[in-house]
Amino acid sequence: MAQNENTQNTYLTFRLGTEIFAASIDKAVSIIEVPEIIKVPRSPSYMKGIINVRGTVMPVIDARMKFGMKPIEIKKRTVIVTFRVDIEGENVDVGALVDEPGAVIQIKKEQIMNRPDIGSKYKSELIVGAFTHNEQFIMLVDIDKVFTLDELTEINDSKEEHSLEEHIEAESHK
Amino acid sequence: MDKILAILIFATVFPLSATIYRLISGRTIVYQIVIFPLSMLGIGVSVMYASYVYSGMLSFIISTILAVILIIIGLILARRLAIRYINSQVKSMWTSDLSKQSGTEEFIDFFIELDSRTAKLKRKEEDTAKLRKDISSMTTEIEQKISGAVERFTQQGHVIHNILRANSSIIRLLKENAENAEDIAGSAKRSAVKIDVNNKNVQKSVLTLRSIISKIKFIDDLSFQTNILALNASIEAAKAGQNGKEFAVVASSIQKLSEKSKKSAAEIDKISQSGIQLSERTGRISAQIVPDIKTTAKQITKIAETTKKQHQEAEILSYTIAHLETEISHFTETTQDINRMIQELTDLVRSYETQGGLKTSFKDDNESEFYSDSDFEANSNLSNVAFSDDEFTDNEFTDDSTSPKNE
Repeated sequence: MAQNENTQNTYLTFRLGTEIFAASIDKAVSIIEVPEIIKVPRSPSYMKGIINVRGTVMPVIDARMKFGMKPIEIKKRTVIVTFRVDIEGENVDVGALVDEPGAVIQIKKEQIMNRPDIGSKYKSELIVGAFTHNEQFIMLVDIDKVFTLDELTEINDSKEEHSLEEHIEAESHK
Repeated sequence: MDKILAILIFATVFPLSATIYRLISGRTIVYQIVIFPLSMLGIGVSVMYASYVYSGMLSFIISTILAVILIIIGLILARRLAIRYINSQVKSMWTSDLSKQSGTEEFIDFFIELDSRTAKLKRKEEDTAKLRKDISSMTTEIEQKISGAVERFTQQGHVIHNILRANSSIIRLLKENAENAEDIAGSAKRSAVKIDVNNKNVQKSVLTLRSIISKIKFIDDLSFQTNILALNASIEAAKAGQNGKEFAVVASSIQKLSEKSKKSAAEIDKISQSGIQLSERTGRISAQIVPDIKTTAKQITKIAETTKKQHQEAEILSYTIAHLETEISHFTETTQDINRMIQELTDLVRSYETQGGLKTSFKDDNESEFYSDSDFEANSNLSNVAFSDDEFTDNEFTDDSTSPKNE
């Protein structure tokens, strides 16, 4: 059992444009349908706004823009994947808009290829590896890096500028 | 010499002139009664004179007596001859005997007149015979022509009868046509109504398919939500580690189910869409058909009306032709009557020829003393009608009209 645990990791897959990405299941919290997104003034373009998920207010980012793709259009299949990321030792709930949810899959560690093999189509620092599953090429994403500190700082900057966001942030911290 | 010449002249002039006169005028009766005695007298006188010149008194007296006797004999002979001739002539014309006539001058005048009239009558008879012949030939010609006309009329009657029969069959066909056209128009109208109903049904089916599509969308949404739920369950199961493994299986099977329902929903959606397209196309086509059928029905109704009118016209035509047929049969009958009449006329003319027209005509004239003016007028009218310019001219009749005055 211990060996199995070591050799296999569980991932959550999702689609961005035409590409399939995978993120570690440990970081994922839930998948939700897109609720009403409250826009936040003076926030970066990839930040779509804030949402309220069962009493928890969290920021929502456009994952496609994070990967240097075209801004997302909210469609029927569009969902928000919520992650619990570690920012400066703090666990913060963040939502990412993806085109379509995938599945929960288990991949052996040997299957995962190293980053330099993938090329530099997307912001390569976000991609940690890649693998094929059911003849589908899937890229492995480091979710913590996606919500990097400086970007969160930007979020924080915007929070500093707006008392409302401060208030929300304060609430989330509580 | 002179004496001999005188005697010869005396002896020859009278008989010679008499002969010439007879030859020129052709009047036998005058010659017989007047010229013959005169020539006899001439001969007698010349004999008398010759005997006086050559033989003396005694022979003169004897020859005078001889001449007187000769003259007397000649006169008696001439009179007898004349009376006989007249009797023969008059008996043939009149029953009365004219031998009792007295007065030689009147008698001679009468005979001159009679002679000329007889000659005229002969000519007239010849003319009448010619006329009769002409009439006969004409009547035969007319008869032929009329019989030809009768034949043609009969043929016309046959032709018209055939036309009538053809027309009656045309009337029957037109009637059938009108009925058929009405039937077609009725069925076209009915089919237009049916197609209208069809169209409405197609529209209804389109609506039904649309509602199916909306329901399918709901199913699709449901499968999407189920998928999300299953994913969430899978995430939770993965986080639970070994304990959540069985739950993870359930979650993944739920996800598979939702995937399946999504696929079927998509298929149903596709099928429904194509169904809608088909129905809409059908609806469009039948919507185009309906006005076409309606116009067809209208046109056929028009045809039916026109055929009815034609039927009426044909009936009128039939009536007219029947009328014409009766008219032609009447005409044929009339022509046949005319033909019969002409045949009768021909028979009559022929009977005249065989019986001899003169006798009968004179018998008819018996009541009149001689030729009455009215008769001649009638004759002249007849002749004028028959031959407008012929020997029977007016001057002849003027002679005739004067002659009774001489009587």
